[in-house]
Amino acid sequence: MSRRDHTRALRTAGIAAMALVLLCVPALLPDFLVYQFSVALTYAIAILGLNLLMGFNGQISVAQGVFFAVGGYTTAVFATRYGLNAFATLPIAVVTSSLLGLVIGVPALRWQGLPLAFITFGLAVLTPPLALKLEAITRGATGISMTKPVPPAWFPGNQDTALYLCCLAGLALCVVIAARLTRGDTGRSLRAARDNGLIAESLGVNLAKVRIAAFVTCSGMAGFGGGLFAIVNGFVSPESFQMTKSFDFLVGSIVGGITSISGALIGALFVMFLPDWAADMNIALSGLIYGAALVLLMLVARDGVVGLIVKLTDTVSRRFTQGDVGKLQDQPENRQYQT
Amino acid sequence: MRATLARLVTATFAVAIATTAHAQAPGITDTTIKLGTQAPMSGVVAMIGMVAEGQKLKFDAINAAGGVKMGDGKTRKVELVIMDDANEPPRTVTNARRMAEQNKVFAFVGAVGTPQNQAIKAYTAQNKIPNIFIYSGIYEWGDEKQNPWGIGMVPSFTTEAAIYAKYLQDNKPDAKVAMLYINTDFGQNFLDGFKEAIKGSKVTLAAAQSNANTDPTVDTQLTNLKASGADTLIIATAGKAAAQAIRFAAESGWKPTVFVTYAASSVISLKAAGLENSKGVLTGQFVKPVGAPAFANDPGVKQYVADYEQFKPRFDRHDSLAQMGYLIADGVVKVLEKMKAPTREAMMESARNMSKVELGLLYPGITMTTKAGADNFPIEAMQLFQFNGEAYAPVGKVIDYEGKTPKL
Repeated sequence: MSRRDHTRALRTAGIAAMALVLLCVPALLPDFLVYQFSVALTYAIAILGLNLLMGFNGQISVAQGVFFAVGGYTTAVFATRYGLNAFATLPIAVVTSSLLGLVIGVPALRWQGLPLAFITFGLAVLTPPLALKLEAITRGATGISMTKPVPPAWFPGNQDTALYLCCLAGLALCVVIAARLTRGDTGRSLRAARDNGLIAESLGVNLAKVRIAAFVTCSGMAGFGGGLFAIVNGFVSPESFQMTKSFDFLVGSIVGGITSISGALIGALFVMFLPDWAADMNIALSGLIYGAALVLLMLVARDGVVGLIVKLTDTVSRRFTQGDVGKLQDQPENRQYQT
Repeated sequence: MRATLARLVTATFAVAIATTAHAQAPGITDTTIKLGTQAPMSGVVAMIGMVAEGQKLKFDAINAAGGVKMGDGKTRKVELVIMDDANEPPRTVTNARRMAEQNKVFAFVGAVGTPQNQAIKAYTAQNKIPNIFIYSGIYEWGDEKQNPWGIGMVPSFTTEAAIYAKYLQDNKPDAKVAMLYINTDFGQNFLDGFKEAIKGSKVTLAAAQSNANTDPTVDTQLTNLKASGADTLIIATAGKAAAQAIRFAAESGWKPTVFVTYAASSVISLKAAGLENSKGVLTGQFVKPVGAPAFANDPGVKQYVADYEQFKPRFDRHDSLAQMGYLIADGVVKVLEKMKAPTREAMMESARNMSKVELGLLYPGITMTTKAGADNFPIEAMQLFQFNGEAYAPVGKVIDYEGKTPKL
C-alpha cells in the first residue's frame, strides 16, 4: 500500500468514526449535554462557512456572529410573528443572511486583508446594540421566545434527540456542499484566488465572482446555523449574539484548522465546551485557563487540530511505507488542503 | 460493530429504566429538597446578585434550625443551587436547563429579572417545573393562563405606578410627570400602568424616555425629560441609571418631585446619587426598614439581624436587595410548609392559595394572599416613604390593592 492509500484509508476511518460518535451522542449522553451538542453543531455550521471563506479563499471576516444573528432572528421572527413552521423558516434565514453577505461581500472586494478584518469587526461590535434598538423587529431586551418543535409521534426519542438529529442533518448537508465546493475546478479557483490573485486572474479565474460567491456562501451558512440555533435554544435576544460570538467562531475556525472541513466540528466543540470546563475547574481563573489553552494549542498545532492529526498520521504512514516507491510521492503536494 | 450495537442498546435501556425508577419528582427526598435560583452576580448589574445571597442566608438559618416541616409531615433541609446569569437572558435559559437536568432541582425560586424570567417561561411550562416568587413585578406573572408554572411575589409594577399616581392626585393634582423607564416589560408595564392610573385626573404625562442597563449614562434621556417642562420625575429603572437620574435631577437645577421604584430605592443606591441630592425622594416599600430605630425591637428584624450575625453573609446588612432575597426565601418556606404532597403540582397549589401569610420582614399591615384562578399576586400593598437625607420616613398609611391589582 502506498503512503497515499494509507493516508486516505486513515482519513476515511477517522471521518467514519467521527460520524458514528456523533450519531451515538443522544443515546449515550444526558439530555442537557445533547442540547449542548446540538448548539455546538449549529456553531460548526457557521465555522464551516468561515473555513470556506478564510481557509480556502483567503478572506478574513470577524463578522460571522453577525450573520449567525441575522439567521437566528429571521427564524425567530418568522416562526413567532408569522406562525411559520420553524424548519420552514431556515431557507428564509439563509436568504436574508446571504443577502447581507452580498451587501458586504461586494465592497469587500476593495478591502481585502486588514481593512476587511477591521470593517467586519466593526459590524460585530455594532450588531448587539442595533438588535436592542430595532425593538419593532427584535423585541429589544426582552428577546423572542419560541416554542420548540415537538417531534412527531412515530419518533422513538425525545425532543432533544430529535432537535439534535436535525442539527446533525443540517451539518451533514453543509459538509456535502463544502466538500463539493472545495474540490474540482471550483475548489481550484477558490484556492487560486487565495494564493495569488494575479496569476489566478491571468489563468481565467473571475476573481470578483469567486470572492463574492465565497462571501455569500459563508454568510449563508452562518445564517443557516443561526436559524437552527434559534430553534434548538428556543430563545434569542441581543445577548445571544454578543460580539464575542464572532470571536468564538474565529477561534473555532483556527483551532480546528482553517483549511479543513472536519476541523469546523472540532473547533465548535472546543469553543462550546472548553470555557465551561475552565469555569468548572476554577471560576475565578476560567479566563486564564481558556486563554492559556489557546496559546498552548497554537504552539503545538499551528495548523489547528486537524492539521496536527494529518501531520501525525503522515509521520506514521511514512514509517509504514519506508523504502516504498511511494517515497517519491513524499512531496507535500496536497497537504495544506486537508479535508 | 455488533459489540458496539449491543452496548448502545444496553445503554439506551439503562437510561429508560433509570427514568422510570424516578417517576417521583426530582430534587426531593424524605430529608431534603433541592431548589435553584439565579441572579446576575457578574456584569453591569452584579449588585442585584445579592438577592440570591439573601435567600441563601434565610435557607442557611432554616437548615441550622433543623429544616422545614412540610405539609406532608416530613421535615426537609433546603439545598439551594445558585447560578449567575450575568443579567443575560440566554444564560438564564442555559442555567435553568442545567439546574433542572444536571443538578435535578425540584423547583426554581426567587429567580431575578424580567426578561430573564420571560426567557425561561416556555421551558418551565413545557417541563412543568415551578418557578415561584419570581423577583420581577411585570403584570403577566399574575396571569395563570399565560404563565401556568410561574408566580411572582412583589407587587405588580401597575400597582406601584397606581400608588404613585394616587399620591400625585391627592397631593399635587396638576403634576406634569416625566418618566425614565427601563427598556424591558418592567419599564413598559410601569409606563402603561401609570397612563391608565392618571386617566380622568389632571395629572399629565409630559414625557417618557427609555434606557438600557448597558447605557453608560442617562444624561441624554434626562435632558429631554427636563426640557419637557415636567415638575415631577418618576424613575422606573434599576441599577446605576436610577442613581444617575436622581443626581441629574438635583444637580442640573431641575429639582422636580422625584419618585423612584422600590427596586432602585436602597439607601446604598441613594448614596451613589449623593444623599443631599436624594432628599425628598419618594418610594413605595413593602419591606421593613431594617435600620430604622422604630423597628429595632421588631421580632422579624431581630431575627434577620440574628441570622446575619450568625452566618456573616458577604453583603452589607442594610443591602435592601439582600433583604429582598431573605424575604423571598421566607415566603418559599411558607409555601413548603403548606405543601400537601412532595410534588411540583402541590407546590404550585400551595403558592396559589395563600391566606394573609405574614413574613418577618414584610411591612406591618402587608401580607401575602393568593387564590388560584382569581388572584395570583401575593403582595399587593405598599407604604410610601420619603427620604429625609439620612433615612426613609413613612408618608401616610399602607395603600392596599388586595385582589385589585390594576390590569394592564
